[in-house]
Amino acid sequence: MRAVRAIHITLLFCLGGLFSPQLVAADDVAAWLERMTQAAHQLNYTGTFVYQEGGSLQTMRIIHAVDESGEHERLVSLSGTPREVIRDHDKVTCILPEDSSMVVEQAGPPRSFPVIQPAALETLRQYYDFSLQGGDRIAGLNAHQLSIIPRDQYRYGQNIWLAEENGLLLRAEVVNEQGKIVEQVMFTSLELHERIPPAMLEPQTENPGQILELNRASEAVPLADGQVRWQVDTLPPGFQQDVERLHYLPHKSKPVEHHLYSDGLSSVSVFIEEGDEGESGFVATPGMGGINAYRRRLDGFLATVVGEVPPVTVKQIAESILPAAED
Amino acid sequence: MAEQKKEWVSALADGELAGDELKRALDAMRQEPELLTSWSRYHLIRDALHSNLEDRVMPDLSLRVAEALEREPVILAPQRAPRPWLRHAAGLAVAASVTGVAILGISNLDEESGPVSVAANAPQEYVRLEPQLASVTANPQLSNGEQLAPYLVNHNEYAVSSGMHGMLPYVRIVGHKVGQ
Repeated sequence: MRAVRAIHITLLFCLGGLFSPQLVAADDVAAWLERMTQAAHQLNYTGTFVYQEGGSLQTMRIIHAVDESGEHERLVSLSGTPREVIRDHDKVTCILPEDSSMVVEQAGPPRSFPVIQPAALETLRQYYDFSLQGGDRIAGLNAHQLSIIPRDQYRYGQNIWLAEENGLLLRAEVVNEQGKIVEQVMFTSLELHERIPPAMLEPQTENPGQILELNRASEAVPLADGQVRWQVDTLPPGFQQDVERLHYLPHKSKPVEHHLYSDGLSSVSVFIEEGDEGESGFVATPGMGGINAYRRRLDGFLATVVGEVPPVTVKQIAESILPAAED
Repeated sequence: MAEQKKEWVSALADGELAGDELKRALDAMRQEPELLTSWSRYHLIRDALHSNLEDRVMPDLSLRVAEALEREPVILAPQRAPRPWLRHAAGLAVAASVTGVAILGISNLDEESGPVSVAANAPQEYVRLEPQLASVTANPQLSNGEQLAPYLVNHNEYAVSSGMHGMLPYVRIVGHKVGQ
């Protein structure tokens, strides 16, 4: 059925090529999205970019390498307090020294590159309007702008600029429901490399303070029948469940139930854990730009809903959490 | 009486109080959260007048004062200062209107400034994550952003990687407090 649909869409694109310039443009959008995703995961690059959100402007450096063992990425702050995040194929290490806390987490299961296929793009078009906006120049490179505008209030829009040469993301803005830019990144320099020396991927932050190694955090708990205790009753349009799992968060003695919902572009996580401290309401996400979070008390449990979506979305999802129906 | 108390706070901000007067002003501030707002405002206005706002502005001043007061030995039954977030929202609004400082110029906004802009747009109540929920390191300085980080790391690892959300998902974690 799926294959049939894909062929159908391909046919549509082909016919569109003959009759309608709009559908050709649609095909281009898909091609650009595909190039973007492949470039981000498959190229060796180093670059410096600025990140702006609210009143703060920061400079960071990214080093991205791909070898036989997979992807490696190191992100380092160049302004303000030294911080870095190192991602390998099997773990993520956040070094946040002034808080004396270091979060060590296993990464999720290996995922194939989530390239947005034309068929997925068709679904996304129900919720977003995609359009190519012409050329620009960023970090000395020719770029093409793609604008992604949501059709309702449950998701943020994005403007992204992709390198003409290889599709790498050079600049991105997240735009809220009022058309304001919530956060943006822009490369000021970007270099491609044949190979990245491993030393460049080693942490260099000095005095990381107390290091917290959390082996237990690395173990996802197998999900047995009947263990999922919660469900979301009313998801915003287009959001579907992607992942459902139990696992340990750092500092927690009991596993947390994690549900991930996505519309294909924006995603929201729901974490539910035992505990009844705290109040219900929005959780401040200072300096995190497009991230919003809402916490809700649920009769001995706490739900934390977090995602790169507008406040209304995290709140609606949090408020429609119900005990899972008994089978 | 209210005006008189504001005068005490004003005098306190100017460093003109000592002894019993100082104690009286501090007690008043402990009991009346709105005086903390006045305190912030006086400082901001004074700093703006002295043109040293860029170096001196501290949007969470009232929060720090509230925390400092809570650490003080309790003499009477002090009222907890409710919702410090909203108060420094007010403080920042004053800063912006009095000085017209371009927001990018405020280079030392720290982690407490995040909800301000949001709160200013749409009044919402923010909750603090309880430190004991997120940390066994018993570090009371952990900010909300810090406590949210483990959730966010997990979210990022599983979320769709598309556009800005995907290529640089950790930018927010690295970036959320660097400016402090």
